Amino acid sequence: MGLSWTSGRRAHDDDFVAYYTARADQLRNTAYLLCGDWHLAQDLTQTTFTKIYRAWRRIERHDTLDQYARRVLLRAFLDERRRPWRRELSTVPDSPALDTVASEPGGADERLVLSTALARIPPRRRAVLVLRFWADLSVEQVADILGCSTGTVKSQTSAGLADLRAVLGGALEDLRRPLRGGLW
Amino acid sequence: MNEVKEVCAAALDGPAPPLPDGREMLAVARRSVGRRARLAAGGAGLAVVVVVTTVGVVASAVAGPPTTTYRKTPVVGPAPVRAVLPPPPAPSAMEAHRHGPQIAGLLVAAVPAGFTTTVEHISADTSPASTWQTMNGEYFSSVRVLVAAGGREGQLSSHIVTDGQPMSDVDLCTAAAAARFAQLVDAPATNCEVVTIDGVTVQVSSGVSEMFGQINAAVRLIDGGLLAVVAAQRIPSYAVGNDELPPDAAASPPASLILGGRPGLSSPVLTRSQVAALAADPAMLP
Repeated sequence: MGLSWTSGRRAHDDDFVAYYTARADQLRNTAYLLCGDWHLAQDLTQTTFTKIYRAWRRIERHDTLDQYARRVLLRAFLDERRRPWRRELSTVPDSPALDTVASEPGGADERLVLSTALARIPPRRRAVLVLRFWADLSVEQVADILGCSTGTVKSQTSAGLADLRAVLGGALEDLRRPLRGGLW
Repeated sequence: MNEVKEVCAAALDGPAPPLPDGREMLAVARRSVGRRARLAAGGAGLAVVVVVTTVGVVASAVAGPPTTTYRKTPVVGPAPVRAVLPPPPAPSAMEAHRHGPQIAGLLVAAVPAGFTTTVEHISADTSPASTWQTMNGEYFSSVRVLVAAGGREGQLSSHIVTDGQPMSDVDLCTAAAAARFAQLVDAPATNCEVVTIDGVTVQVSSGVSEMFGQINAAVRLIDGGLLAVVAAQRIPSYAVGNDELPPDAAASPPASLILGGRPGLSSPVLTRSQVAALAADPAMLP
């Protein structure tokens, strides 16, 4: 992971800060892809790093820390969804923008459809897609994070991709078209 | 799949708020650890001043059947009802979590005959409590019981919240208190009443929620937090649905999962006085 770890209690905080500096942005991006809200993503990231800090001295193998961090993030995300006041405040799933139909090839509508597509997929399938294809994790790693079988990950992946294609319609192709035409 | 990466890239293609730097995050984490340690100590360091104005109720808490007195508490008006017994210390989050099985037993036992009950179990250990910390620093430990009859279902839940805040204003029906309870545990901010049961002061409220239908809720203060019991007429459809379950789970849904979205009960499974009695039950706390 490109980080070197020092030992001893005095180095504890420095190591934590180094890990946060190296991974916070990446983890927050993952959180944003899961929840579609930057503020909530920031909350989830902070929750994750707070838990990591608490567990820091008990973590013996820091090479597995990324996997642990993703697992904590996932649980925080799924827990967060269960809280009624959070759900009531969520704006993404009910946003009128989600019902926008792409009309102009290569225009802002397609980008909007793309940027909100993930939010329209059920959370667990969304998580599988993000972890598999954005975070580039193996089926086994995703199964470990989600606490399910590899078979479940595979079937959720398949279902999630079908969901995504249904949500996207032709938006992705429309957005690609100008590129293929050499206009850019 | 490239299309997923493209979608993810598109979603991230916008201005993001700045990240706190490492030292800021470290400070937050340190505060959290310190707070956790204080809560684990049982809140012993928190001083609470309780004014005892009612005489004789303490004795009734020691022996004899529960005695319930009701008093309507207006938001503005006479002096507020004072706690008869000092609030017990808030349990640590782990204590509350480990107490989950006993709470679940009490909730199930309180459900009248004719209903089936299913205790939700989503934690990774044997406790039915779901325990977590919010970014505001509060710890929540919740136990939820699905209550069903005739194809209709509602919910009975308890919530132990430890936020380290002693509430100096013990009038539980002030607008501020009602707002706090509504935010924390979905207690309605309407039809507020203060009840004293065996020396324990409990706020009882009821109202209609778009998500939960009719709600009867009872909240009692503990030193540095609260305990709430909430009976809801229905479970909103946002709860885990079959479409969110892995296929192997959807084929045979675990009995412990609350699925929600079915027609609600004709009324909450427990009345106002029943949720109040549960909230005042000392056995609900570790």
